Amino acid sequence: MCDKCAAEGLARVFGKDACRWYFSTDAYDYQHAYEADQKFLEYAEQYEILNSINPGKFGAEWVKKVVEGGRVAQVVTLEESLELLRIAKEANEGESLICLNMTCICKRTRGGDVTEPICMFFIHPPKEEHAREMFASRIFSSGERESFYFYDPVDLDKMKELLLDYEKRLGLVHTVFTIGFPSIITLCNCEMPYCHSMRQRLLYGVEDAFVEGYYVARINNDKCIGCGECERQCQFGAIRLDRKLEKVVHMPTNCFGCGICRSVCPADAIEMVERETVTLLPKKEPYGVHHPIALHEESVQ
Amino acid sequence: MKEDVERIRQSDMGFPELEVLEAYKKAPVITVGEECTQPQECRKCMEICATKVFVIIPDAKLVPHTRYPLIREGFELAAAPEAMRVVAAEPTVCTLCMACVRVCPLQCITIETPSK
Repeated sequence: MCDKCAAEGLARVFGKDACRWYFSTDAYDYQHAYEADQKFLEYAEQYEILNSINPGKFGAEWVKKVVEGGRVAQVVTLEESLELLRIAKEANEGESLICLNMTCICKRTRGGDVTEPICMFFIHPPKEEHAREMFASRIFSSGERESFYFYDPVDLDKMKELLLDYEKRLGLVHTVFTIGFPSIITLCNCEMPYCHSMRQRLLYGVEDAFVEGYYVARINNDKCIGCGECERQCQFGAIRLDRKLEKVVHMPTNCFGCGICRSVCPADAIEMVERETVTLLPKKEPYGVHHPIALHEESVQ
Repeated sequence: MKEDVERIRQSDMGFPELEVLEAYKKAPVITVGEECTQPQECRKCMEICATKVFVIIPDAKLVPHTRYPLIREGFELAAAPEAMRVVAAEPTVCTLCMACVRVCPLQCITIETPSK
């Protein structure tokens, strides 16, 4: 298990495969999602979340309060996305799992393209009556209001085709989004600078808002032909083409393991390997007690 | 609505009072005039902004009748285009290119540069 998951104590809930908590059946418990949603709404109302959805106004504190050790979003590869969809389907066998493909809510609110549905909701309505009503009012009836919401119900097989298309044509990062960790509500296909969670992580450093995936890219420069396609597609600045050598250089600490570079590589020079097999130092080491900054902070207090 | 919010604040939720960051106070003051009533149809300022400062949200004044007007009703009533407004949610990332001011067909966006 990776250091981050170990530090957050995920193993206590999910066992030894805690890094991939999204394969656990707990992740498809929508009654829990509903209860967590109530709590989220309370916080959201209090802190004017829509008006100040960035941590730039109040700092990262309110975001951390909402997250509380869970994770808002985590990057997954194409293979993991397909496995996740399969589990969602199996976990709700015989029940009314509903798949919706809708336009990205971040792009709707931030000014991106809203003509193409790229977010995938898979919803199993909760058992309680009032919870069902809430989901119904929030999700299903909205489909009729095409001026803002655009729902296009699709089946899981169709979703697989779409995921491949989004990755190769649009270069979008597959991400699982939770509503009340670990309940997964959507499989999103994200893009900077629209995605609210990506902004929270990449602009403001809120780690739990957008977490790195289980994998990390490994680039084999023997095969690399220096076309630079991976550099153009990487949203995290983890790859750069050395124009002189016509080879790419890779910064694995910046790599979120989305696998977009692999899918666009014409020379098949990129593979995804498990992050824990690569020795990666954390980007931000907490200050030791004898560090000058820590001493300064202590004296101020 | 204000009474509701106050009641929630004093109830069992125990929200901490958050202070606005100093950096936020120094950010440019970007205001979108009340003439802008159909932002979902226009979207010009949102689309031209390179750093995505603007966010489209439901107007609390027009959907004030529930406990969570901004969220619960907001996203549902989002279908009502007249209830939507554009706000500059992240002025801290504004680079003062003034593209939004130029592109606005109603000329209703003003930016006050921060005083040094």
